[in-house]
Amino acid sequence: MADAETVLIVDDEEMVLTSLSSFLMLETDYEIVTFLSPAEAVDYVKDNPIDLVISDYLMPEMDGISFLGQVRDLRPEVPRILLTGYADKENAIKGINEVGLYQYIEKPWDNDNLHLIIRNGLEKQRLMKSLQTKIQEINKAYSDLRGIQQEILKTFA
Amino acid sequence: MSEGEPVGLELYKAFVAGTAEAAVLLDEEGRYVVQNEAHHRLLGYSAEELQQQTPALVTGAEGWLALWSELGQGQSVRQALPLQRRHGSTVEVELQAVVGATEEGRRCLLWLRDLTLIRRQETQLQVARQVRAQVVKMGDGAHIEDVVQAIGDGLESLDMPFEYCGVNVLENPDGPVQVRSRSMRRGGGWLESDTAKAASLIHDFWRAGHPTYRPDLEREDPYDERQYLQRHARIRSVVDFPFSHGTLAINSTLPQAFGEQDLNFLQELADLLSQGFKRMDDLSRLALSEAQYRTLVETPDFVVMQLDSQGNYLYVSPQVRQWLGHDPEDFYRNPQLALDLVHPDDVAGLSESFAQVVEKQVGLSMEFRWRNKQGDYRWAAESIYPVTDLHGQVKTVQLVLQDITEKKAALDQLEQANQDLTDTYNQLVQSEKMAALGTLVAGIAHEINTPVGAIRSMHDTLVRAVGKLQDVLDESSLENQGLQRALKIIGDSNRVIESGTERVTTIVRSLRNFARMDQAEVQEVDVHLGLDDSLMLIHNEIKNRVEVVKDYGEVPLICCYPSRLNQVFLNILNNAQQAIDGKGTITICTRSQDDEVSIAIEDSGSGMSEEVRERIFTAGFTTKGMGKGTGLGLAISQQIIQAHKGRIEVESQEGKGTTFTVVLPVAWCGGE
Repeated sequence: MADAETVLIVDDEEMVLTSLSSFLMLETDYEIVTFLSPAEAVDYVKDNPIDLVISDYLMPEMDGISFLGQVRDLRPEVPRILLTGYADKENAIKGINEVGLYQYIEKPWDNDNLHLIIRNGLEKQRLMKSLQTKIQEINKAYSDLRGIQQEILKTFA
Repeated sequence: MSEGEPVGLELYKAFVAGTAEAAVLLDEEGRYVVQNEAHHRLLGYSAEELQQQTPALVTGAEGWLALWSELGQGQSVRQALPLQRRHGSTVEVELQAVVGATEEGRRCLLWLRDLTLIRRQETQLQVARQVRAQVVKMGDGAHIEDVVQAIGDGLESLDMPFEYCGVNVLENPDGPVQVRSRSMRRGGGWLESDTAKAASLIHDFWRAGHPTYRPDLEREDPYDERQYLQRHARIRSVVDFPFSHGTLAINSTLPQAFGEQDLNFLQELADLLSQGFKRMDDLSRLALSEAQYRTLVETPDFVVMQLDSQGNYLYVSPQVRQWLGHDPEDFYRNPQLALDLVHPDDVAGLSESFAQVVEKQVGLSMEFRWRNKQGDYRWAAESIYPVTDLHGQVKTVQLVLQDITEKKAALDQLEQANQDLTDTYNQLVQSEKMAALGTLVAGIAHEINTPVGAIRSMHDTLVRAVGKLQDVLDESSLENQGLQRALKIIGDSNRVIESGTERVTTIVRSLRNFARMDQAEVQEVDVHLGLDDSLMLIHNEIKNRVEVVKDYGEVPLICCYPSRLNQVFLNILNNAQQAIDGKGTITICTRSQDDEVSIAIEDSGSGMSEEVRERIFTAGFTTKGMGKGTGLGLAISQQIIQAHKGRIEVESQEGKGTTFTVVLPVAWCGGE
């Protein structure tokens, strides 16, 4: 892989950010970007491509669902993972429907499980991306074909 | 008295003069010798006119001859016959004659009694009787017309020269005067008179209190009534007699139609009317008070009984039939009946209160039960009081009884409802507390969760990092003693952190499972998990002190509200550990049998007495002392288990311990 994939993590708890990023940095080659503030994270997403986003649910500034909603608006192809306390499970499920979550992870999380989910998310993202590229290629080929068809029709008309 | 004087004759003369009745003395030829004043009044002849005459003058010659000859044979005669008065009218008399010998020869003594007068008196008596008969009937619904008719007929039979007779009744003696009049004309027919005009006049006559006689309206008309009275006939004389409720009015076309005797008799009739009307008043008052008495006594809500001091029934009001199905007669016949009907538990109290009422002459109230004919017991509230005679002796005992079965049932229900309300309130308070505690626990769990999650993750990462570190360090550096010690310390630290984190994680999980804020619905759960979670919560209280033996059997999942069931387990386990003073054992045994799951929690604690055991499920009952127990734990536990259609059984032996067994149906799926 030429470029390392970028994982964005948002949590208002420093220790959560540190523990997540430490683990991922140790075990993976992902580019890890962390934010304590969801608003700042939104600004970052506007200007920088990312491949996956993990967000805490309960944050003082803005909850994880609205944050992920904004990320979806900016980069719909990016898989979104919600990190929740057990009591917020219902909200998390609501979030799946509202903002199209890829997955939610319950605290306290298991590192291996977390790794697996992230890897699958990125895999999915990659597949989606290539699917997108393929679709674009097909679309292009199709419109080219249409152009040629038009030319032929004009010629024979 | 001188010699030769005809003493007997003088005696005869003296008798004639002295007697109140009409009497004459006749000589031996039957000629008048002497008459008295009464005789003069009766027949109208003067002494001169009678001289040399015989009674043939008044009897007629034939009559006298017959009489005289009769007297010649016998000693005395007594017979009724008509006599001719001097002015021509006849008078019916009873004649009595005695013939006696005197020194001057035979003499005859005659008495005459005016039979007309006697007959008239007899007739009057009869009339009065008839009027009285009608007057008496008035109270029983006879009409005033019948009375007037009797008076009119009577006056006619007395040959009184009246034209109209009538009764005027003041309808409203104390208020504005209203008069109801019925007047009958001689020979029949009713007078339709306009009495409104005469009303105030009648009222005046009534108020006068004595008869008002106007002997000749054409000579004197003091009340200006001639016009009015002469509308139908030429009325000359009129008289009004007041009686209790109005006036009796008689008039006549003759002037001075009524003599003194007539007036006296009419007054008698007026008095009869007074009596009649008063009787009628009394009767209606009596009827009213009887009706009032009856409504009082025979009201459907009460039964009134009257007994003599021996306990015999004098009166039982008929409502007893609706109440008990027995007739009053049943009580009269069998004085024992009432006591037979009374509930066995109430007989003694009732008999004693009766005796007390008779002895101490005091009124009492009490409640008791008695059986109706269907065999159901009905509650009665009884007021019992003595009725004493003038000498202070108890003559009768009066009972007023009321059926309070429904009232009592309602009262019981009310009390029950009140108790339920109090219980519900207490439980609500308790479940509010539990809810608050749950929220708190959930909040704490959540708060702890995040750092625990971070620590767990970080610890895992650290282990991995150390592993990587060891991988990259070469053999030589691993021989470095300082490095080896550091790596050992890191490894030990990691183990401690791991086990510590595990413990915290488990506690947090137990806490949140226990509270189950996210699981307020019926779920299928494993009771063992609930028991373990509850045990975890009291771990601090029992560690190193109480051994917990888990004898968990093969038990199916059961339907329940998990957090509520956990609350029950916690309550029982907490009681169990509190009952153990010092070291002991709690044995938890779960079994499944016949669609039921039983969870027996046995402690080796102090046990409890029978009295305590009976009250442990009562809300508010506690043996733990102020501040330690609410007295609600088991009450709520039972409530919860009952809501799950299960039951809690208790066995306890003082000094040996207690076993609480919760039995729950497997198939309960919510709802009542």
